[in-house]
Amino acid sequence: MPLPNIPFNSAEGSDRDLYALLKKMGLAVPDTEEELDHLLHLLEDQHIPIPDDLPTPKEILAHGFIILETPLDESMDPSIEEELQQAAREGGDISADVRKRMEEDRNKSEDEQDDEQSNRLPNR
Amino acid sequence: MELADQPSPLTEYADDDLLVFMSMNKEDPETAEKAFNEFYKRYKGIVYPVVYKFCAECTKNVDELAKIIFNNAFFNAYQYAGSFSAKGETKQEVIKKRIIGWMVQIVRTEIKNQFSSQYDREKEQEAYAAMSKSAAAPSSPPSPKEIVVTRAFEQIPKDRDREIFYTYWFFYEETPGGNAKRLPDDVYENLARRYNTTRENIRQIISRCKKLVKDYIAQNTKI
Repeated sequence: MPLPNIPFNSAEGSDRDLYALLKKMGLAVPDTEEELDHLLHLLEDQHIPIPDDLPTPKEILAHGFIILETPLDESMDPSIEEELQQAAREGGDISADVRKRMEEDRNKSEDEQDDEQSNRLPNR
Repeated sequence: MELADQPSPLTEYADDDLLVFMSMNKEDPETAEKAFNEFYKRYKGIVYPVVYKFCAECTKNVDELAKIIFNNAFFNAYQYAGSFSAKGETKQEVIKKRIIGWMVQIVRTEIKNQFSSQYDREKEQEAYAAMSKSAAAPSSPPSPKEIVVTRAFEQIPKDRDREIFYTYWFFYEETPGGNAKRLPDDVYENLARRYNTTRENIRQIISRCKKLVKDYIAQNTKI
């Protein structure tokens, strides 16, 4: 399907234009039947295999809605590390955002330690 | 024996009939579950590739996320089956396409729900009603402009930034002027938590990626 003639003739091309292009390419969720057809054609070509261990209907009804517990990216953001290192070197302030993340990480770590300790306690 | 493996007495019913049975899950849960079993058999092979494709854009941890979204999309369909309307259509081919469109909107909702605490599932499903109609389009090789857009995304140097930028478009809503509305605060917060970074970094990454991609497209497409 040819893309519409979207005039990206300046660096200020609108978000709407970019979103339209992404939908036409199957990179954003379709809003029209035409975009849906195009997405389905793309998927036919991609032959994505269906795993054997998908949740069954019975499991789906038992689970209900699930929220992913783990981060999508486990690695530490380099920019946060950089800010922490810079603050350590220069004695500068840490931004509120990074401070909040540090507190969250500390609480998470403390919770994990508490869990480990409680697991080691003998039964009373 | 799992429910999916059991012979279903509802095989002769049309897809929209199954949704009607599913919508009666409070009054007649047994029939609703049988209908859900049959609906799952018919649509899992269509829904999973859609789920996988969009999850693969958000994360390298695609298998886990895709299974969660798949689970939630089908559970959502079971819970809110009554929100689908065939609008008087009787051709099964057309109804099937509409059900797929409805499920795709549910998939979007469920991906967004992983990044937000405030989503209204029923409201989101109404979005499908606004899906405009047009003729089916034939498949074709990528056009030069599609290739340029693909390359524009390849200019984003970090995988993490690209994943965040793709995820951003699930939340896209526009102002009357055609530009993006600001994301709700809780979405920034959840994106930051999901991608192990700060809210401010999420803002900067989205802004930087948008400029980079638009600049690349502008420089490489001459109309």
